[in-house]
Amino acid sequence: MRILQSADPGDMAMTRKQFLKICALAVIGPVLGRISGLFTPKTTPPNGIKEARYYRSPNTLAG
Amino acid sequence: MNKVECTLCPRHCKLAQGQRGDCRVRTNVNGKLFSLVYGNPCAVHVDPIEKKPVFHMLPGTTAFSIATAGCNLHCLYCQNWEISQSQPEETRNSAMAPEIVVASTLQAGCRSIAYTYSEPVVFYEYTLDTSRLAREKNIRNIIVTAGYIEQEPLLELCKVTDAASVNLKGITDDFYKKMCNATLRPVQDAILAMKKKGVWVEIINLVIPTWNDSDDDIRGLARWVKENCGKETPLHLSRFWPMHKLQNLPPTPETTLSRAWDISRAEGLDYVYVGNIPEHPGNSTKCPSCEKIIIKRYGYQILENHMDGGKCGYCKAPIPGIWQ
Repeated sequence: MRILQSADPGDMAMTRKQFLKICALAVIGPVLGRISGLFTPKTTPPNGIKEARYYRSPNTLAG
Repeated sequence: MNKVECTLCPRHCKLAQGQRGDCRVRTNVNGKLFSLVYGNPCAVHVDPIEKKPVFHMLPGTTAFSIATAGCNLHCLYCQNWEISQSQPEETRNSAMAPEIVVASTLQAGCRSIAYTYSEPVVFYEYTLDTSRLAREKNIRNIIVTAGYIEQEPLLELCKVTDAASVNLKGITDDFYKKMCNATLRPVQDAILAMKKKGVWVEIINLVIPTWNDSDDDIRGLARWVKENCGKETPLHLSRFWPMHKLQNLPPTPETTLSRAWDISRAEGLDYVYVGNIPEHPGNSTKCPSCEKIIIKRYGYQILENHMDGGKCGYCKAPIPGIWQ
């Protein structure tokens, strides 16, 4: 079923299936992006690594 | 196996290999704890010292202000949540070793360095090393903090800290639990330790509608400050603006802040200020002796300064603070 018509239906018209696919991508895309963003650094990884001053070492901890 | 326990703040996070602390910026690597933000600030600005706010130290000068990602509190109303509630991978960071911070401070003509915006406790090593270098160059150090830190690291930091703007967010444990997922006592202990060590302390309280704006809340806060820190300790009552997870509330009405200002002065505090309302008379410093305005401010701007060294320019009464 055609739901959008253009001057040249053969080239430009969009079927309901295509329309729904685009809608689904518009909804799922940002969600996937967000999830992948949780595992991928957004900018540069930190390079300010320095040993901390106040902590207890493994030997003094149970478990 | 290979767990470490961070003893910097009262949370005492116990971290397995690769795990990060509650602050998001300290991690266990092979049984050693590492800071991930050393020399990597995500915010660098030159600010008026009044913005910290610190009103009784070098008025009208600028503070070279730095922050890294992370915080060990998670306040629902955080005004800088974009950086404080982020991991260092999520912020744009600069490479800025302590030497560069100090050199930049001198180049910018700042008299002080402020460790601010997020929480200097979580970038402790960076703050400490930079402060030590700054001292050698006659630059003052200011920490703007929630004061949620253990005593031992705090006392070490106090050796090189000139002033602290400490956010005492509420005066009940219940407030700290619900609003910040923290406890009140360590903050009070930190304030007292700083006072004892000679750090110039100014206390900030964000007055939030329905959360800590009752007469009893304000009175309790002012009383605690007066009885434990002394009546000469400045108390800044700041206007809340809806942010982060507390966007359902309105900004604090001016009338509430004026009421809080009146209550705190009536409790006997000498220097009570109102923040985030530039035109409010509570922005200015009055001499408690002759009651004349000695530093007139409009927000962060100094309009008039009638200080004479560390004394009131009118009656010569000493005004506590760091003036030179």
